Amino acid sequence: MSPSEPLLQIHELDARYGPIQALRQVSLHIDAGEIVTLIGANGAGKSTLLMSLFGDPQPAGGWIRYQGHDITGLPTHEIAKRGIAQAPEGRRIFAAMSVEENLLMGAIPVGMDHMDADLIKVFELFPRLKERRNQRAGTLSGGEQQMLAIGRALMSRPRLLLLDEPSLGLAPLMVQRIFATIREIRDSGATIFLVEQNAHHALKLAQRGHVLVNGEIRLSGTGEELLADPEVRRAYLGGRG
Amino acid sequence: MPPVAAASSTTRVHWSLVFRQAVLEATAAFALALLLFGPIVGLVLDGYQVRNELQRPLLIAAIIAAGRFLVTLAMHAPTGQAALERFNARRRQPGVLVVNASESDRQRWWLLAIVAVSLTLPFLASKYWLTVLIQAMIYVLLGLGLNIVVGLAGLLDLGYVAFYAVGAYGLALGAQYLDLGFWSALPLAAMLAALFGGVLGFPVLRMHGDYLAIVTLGFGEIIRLVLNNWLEFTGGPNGVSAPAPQLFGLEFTRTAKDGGVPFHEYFQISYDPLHRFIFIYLALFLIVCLMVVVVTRLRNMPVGRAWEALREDEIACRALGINHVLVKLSAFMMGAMVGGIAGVFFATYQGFINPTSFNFFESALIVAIVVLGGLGSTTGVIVAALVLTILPELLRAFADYRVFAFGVLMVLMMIWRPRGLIRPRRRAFEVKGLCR
Repeated sequence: MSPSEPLLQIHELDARYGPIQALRQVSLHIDAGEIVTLIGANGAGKSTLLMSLFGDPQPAGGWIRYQGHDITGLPTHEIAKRGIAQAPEGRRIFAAMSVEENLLMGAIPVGMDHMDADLIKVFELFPRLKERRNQRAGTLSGGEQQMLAIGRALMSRPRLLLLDEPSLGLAPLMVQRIFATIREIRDSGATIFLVEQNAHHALKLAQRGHVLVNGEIRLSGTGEELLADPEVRRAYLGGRG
Repeated sequence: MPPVAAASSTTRVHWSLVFRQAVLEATAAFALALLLFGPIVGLVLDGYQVRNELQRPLLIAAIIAAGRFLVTLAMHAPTGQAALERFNARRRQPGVLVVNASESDRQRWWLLAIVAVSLTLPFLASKYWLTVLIQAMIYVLLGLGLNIVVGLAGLLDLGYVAFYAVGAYGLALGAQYLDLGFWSALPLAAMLAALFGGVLGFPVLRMHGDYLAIVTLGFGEIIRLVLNNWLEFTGGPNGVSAPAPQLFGLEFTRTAKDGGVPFHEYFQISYDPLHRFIFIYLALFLIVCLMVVVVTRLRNMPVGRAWEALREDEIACRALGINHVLVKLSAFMMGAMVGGIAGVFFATYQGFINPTSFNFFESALIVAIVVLGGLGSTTGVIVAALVLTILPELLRAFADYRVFAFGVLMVLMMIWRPRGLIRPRRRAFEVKGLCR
């Protein structure tokens, strides 16, 4: 990997669900250590982009390079083993298992060597999860479940963390807390690709952002640029432009 | 259940209202019972004529209505209320029970007692009860095996009996064609069953829920039909005989075949046909214990946890880097292997097998054991297997009502113990450097 090459590069990616084209020529890159956000309305293709990064659906065109290697078309579990972790949309925790077991599941790609140390780290990041470690994960509140999903993803020591709408369905106070934690995770050295509908919070947090409309990238820029952009303000921030 | 939860907060009981409700509910129960029992019990086919015996359903409906009336009254009385409250409170507990250290200490003593009783039981039992015990142990083994597939991995397998049949025929046909003894056939038949598990597992990887159930159901029937119709190889409906086990080459027969030494001559005791069954029982018990240990260990290992995670959310599993193909296949093969071992023991204990032993009712019974026991709970599965095999023997006198009792049991379970007899337990973890 040459020093100039980004951690993740997506080049002219196409994705389809049958006859429906969900992504059109999407290109973006993420450098090590930054937070990049992708904002867009419902159905714009945000989650599809994350999922096709993970090989499901397989990209119909274009390529994805990660750490200098082509990972286009690899099976999902292979991609996860290369140090990309995801806190999927809707959290998808294992409801019948205990909080701790959920976290242990996250450690599977890296093996059990660092498990205890990583578990302590996650519990430091989310003291709430430590309190509830022996509780059934399904009995957690929405915000706690989101913490668990992020914590579970962190257990695999990812270089790149994909977060799919972490603010979905959470109370405003909880949203602030989650975003503060995301900043903390970035500060500890991880790279984060944040997919959000909550444009205001996401753009304030991110170095760079992209706006996805109908499967195409409409706008790109730094977080401040996009926050100030009249089109973004009108469409996603409820401003009058 | 009547809606009485709200009334529990008020201390005074309005008996007039309660009485009215009881009468209403009793009338409804009467009508329902009449509707249900009227055609079944009231109309008797006598030769070519239908006789009208309406007084019988009327009597049944009256008994039911009276019972309903009394139950409603009792539920509203303070003592009934308290009982109901206790019962509901227990049901409201969160779904995971975590075992802490002191509790598992207490369990160790129980375990020791159970093992001691299980080891002495066969020496006291008559031949009849010995066969019942062996039968029960076989179902415990089957339940444990299917519990991996259905309870842990969440894959509804309605054709589990196929692997049972593969194991049983593996022993019988292995002895007939390859001259294998019991102990050499045991691992081979287990592996063969695991292979069949893989063969079934592969095409059904993409299926979920109902579709998976139908395909596995079909697979079970295919195996049975092949065994039934491949006359030259399996003997078809005539069946095949299976060899008895040996103890280090000692046979459990009165006189040894071709040069062997019978067990009773070697130890210079008088011949007793029970020895064979006691030996089968003890070997089976050992295997069951081994299986319990293996399953308990597996549940705390990545692969076992991956089975359960797969049951919860397949997409999340894949995103966490779990190869769902391997995980599903391993569950299928592991379950099939245990089924195969149970089959080998069944064949050797029966001494003779034919395809009628491997019909769909067996599959349904094993699924019932797993569901009754509480999906995923090892203890629950063992208890359920013992209950469902030993209880019918105890209630031989009421054999006609066996299926009926089965149905009643299922309905009661659905109301009061929807998660099974015994709730799955989870072990608490010890994390180094983490204060509790």
